[in-house]
Amino acid sequence: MDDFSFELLDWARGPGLEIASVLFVLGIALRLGEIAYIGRKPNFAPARGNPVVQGIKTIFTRTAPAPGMVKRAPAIHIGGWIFHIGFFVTILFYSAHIRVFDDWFEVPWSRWPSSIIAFVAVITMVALIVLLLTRIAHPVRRKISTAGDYAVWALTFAPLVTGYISAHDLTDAPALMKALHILSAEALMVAFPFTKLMHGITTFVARYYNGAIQGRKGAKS
Amino acid sequence: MTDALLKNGIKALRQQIDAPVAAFFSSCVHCGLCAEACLFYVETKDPRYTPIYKLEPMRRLWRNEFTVVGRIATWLGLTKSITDDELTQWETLVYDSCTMCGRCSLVCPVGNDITYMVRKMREGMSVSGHAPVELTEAAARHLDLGSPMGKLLPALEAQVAHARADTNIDITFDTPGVDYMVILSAQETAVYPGVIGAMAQLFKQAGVTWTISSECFEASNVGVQIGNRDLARTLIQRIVDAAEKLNVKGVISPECGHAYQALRWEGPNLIGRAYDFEVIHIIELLDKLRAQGRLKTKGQFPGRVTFHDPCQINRRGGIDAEPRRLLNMVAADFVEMEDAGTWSWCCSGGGGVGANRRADALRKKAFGRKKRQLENTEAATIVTMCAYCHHTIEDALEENNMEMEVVSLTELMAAYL
Ligand code: SF4
Ligand code: SF4
Repeated sequence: MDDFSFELLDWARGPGLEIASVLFVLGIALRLGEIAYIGRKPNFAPARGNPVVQGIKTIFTRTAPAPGMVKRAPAIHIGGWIFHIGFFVTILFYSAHIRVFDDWFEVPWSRWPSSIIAFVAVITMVALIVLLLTRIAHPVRRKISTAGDYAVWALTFAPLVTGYISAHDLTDAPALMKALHILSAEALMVAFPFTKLMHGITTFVARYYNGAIQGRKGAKS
Repeated sequence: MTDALLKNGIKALRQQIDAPVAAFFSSCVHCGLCAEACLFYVETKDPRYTPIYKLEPMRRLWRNEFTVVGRIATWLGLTKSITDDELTQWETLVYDSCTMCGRCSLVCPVGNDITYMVRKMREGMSVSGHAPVELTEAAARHLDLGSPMGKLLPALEAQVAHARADTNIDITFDTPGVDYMVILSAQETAVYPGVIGAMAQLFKQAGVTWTISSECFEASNVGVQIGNRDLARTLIQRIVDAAEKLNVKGVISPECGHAYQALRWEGPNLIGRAYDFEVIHIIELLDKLRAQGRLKTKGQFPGRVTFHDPCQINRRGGIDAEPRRLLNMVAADFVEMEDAGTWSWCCSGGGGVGANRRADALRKKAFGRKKRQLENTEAATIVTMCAYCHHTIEDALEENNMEMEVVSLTELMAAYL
């Protein structure tokens, strides 16, 4: 059993990570290539505003919720914000992750105390659970949800929960747990380009287009 | 027959898919927030009216044909293609429950311009024979008789004669070389012709020369509402030909939301080139004349007024401050409605919904938000700058036993010269 755990951990840390990274990068390139390949027609209507400037502006401004929307959908907004921030904090500022980054990039990086990371991880998981519940309970979210949404939820939740268990030595099989954690993160990386996770990148393209379409008309976005 | 129509419809829809559409569908996280912006969802709570859901057939077409993974899945027989039954089901979502108001496009956190896609989705729907019958009939009338209400030249000539008599100003047809060619929406020609005399008075004061083409005076464009590029292009080309024949500096887009969208923003792309003349919305022009000191008013409207923003002119057209600057000249007690301006709620009749009898009950329900907001202003007068909003709100006021009147901003300005 132990041998298997260590072999799995070695595989996950070595070839597994390499395969996942390659698929992650190539997948993203493919998806962006698909969008660029379709292209769009030139616009002959003389502009009233500046599409490029407003497109770029909208990439940033759309991060803030539209007026009155937090009140209309508090769980999605607050849950969404906590989840996104928490997820990145646990990835970027947890010391065990930073040791990996050190090997890759050799840049100094701030490490947050493990207790804070643990707290962040827990509220991130709670936020994810709340988001899942709203997906099941809210008629709109239930109506538009696909199997992919639930799969992506599980893929996102898995590294958090396995990471938490692994970091706190909550099982008798630490090597196996760590291997599962790394594998779950790799599964997320592989899924990224081919699921709605890709919004992490295409949202910048979408927001740009939205702002540019409106900006050309001198309309707000 | 149906098979051929469906095939052509899918082909038309396929041609509509571009990089923005691909970026939008790739980005949707199924959060459902767009529903909270849509008048049809917020007033009915029916989840089918979630904006992005209205595009489901188009999303599948994109995924199956424009992504590598989708193409492989299709090749393996794992995907479902669009069926005629499905499009029949989607008719009420794409036409009856969407006024193309653009609110959803402003709230989507990932930046999806859903309205842009509804416009495109309608191309596939109309070509496959799924457009509402009233719009199809209006399209045929427009194409054959010159306006969605049929042959309107005799009516227009009569209205112009009235306006001449009322104002003592010579209003001409087909005068070449003037500043502007004026076009009107059928709604104005047939129901609110007062705008003709109003323009005559305003332009006389400002020293603007203008004319009406007897060959093409219709501003509205059923092609844009129904989603038919070929028809939309033909109708735009008629205006372009008339304007170029008269050698005018510009064409005035009248108080009509979708006409502005069609002529100012879609038109050049439909005909594949920029025009040789400028297109300016009547309110934009009046505000420009105000800024140049060529439009002066005296006196003010006695009662409280509020302003309704037509979606295609403000949210989707960017004309926001102009009507307010004008209104402040002639209205002492002007109060804004809640969410006024960019976030204004639709009158519920835009995008062809008002003409679609099947959507009547739904439209009445969707007016609920606007109704409450209008009541809260305690104004007796609603000013607007779209004849179709004007007509929709007037009908809705009557249906709801509300004692308010609707006034065109152009006419209001002319009343205080
Ligand atoms: S708001 Fe945007 S991301 Fe959310 S469901 Fe609607 S289209 Fe998708
Ligand atoms: S454009 Fe307006 S009516 Fe249409 S789906 Fe969006 S919010 Fe609803």
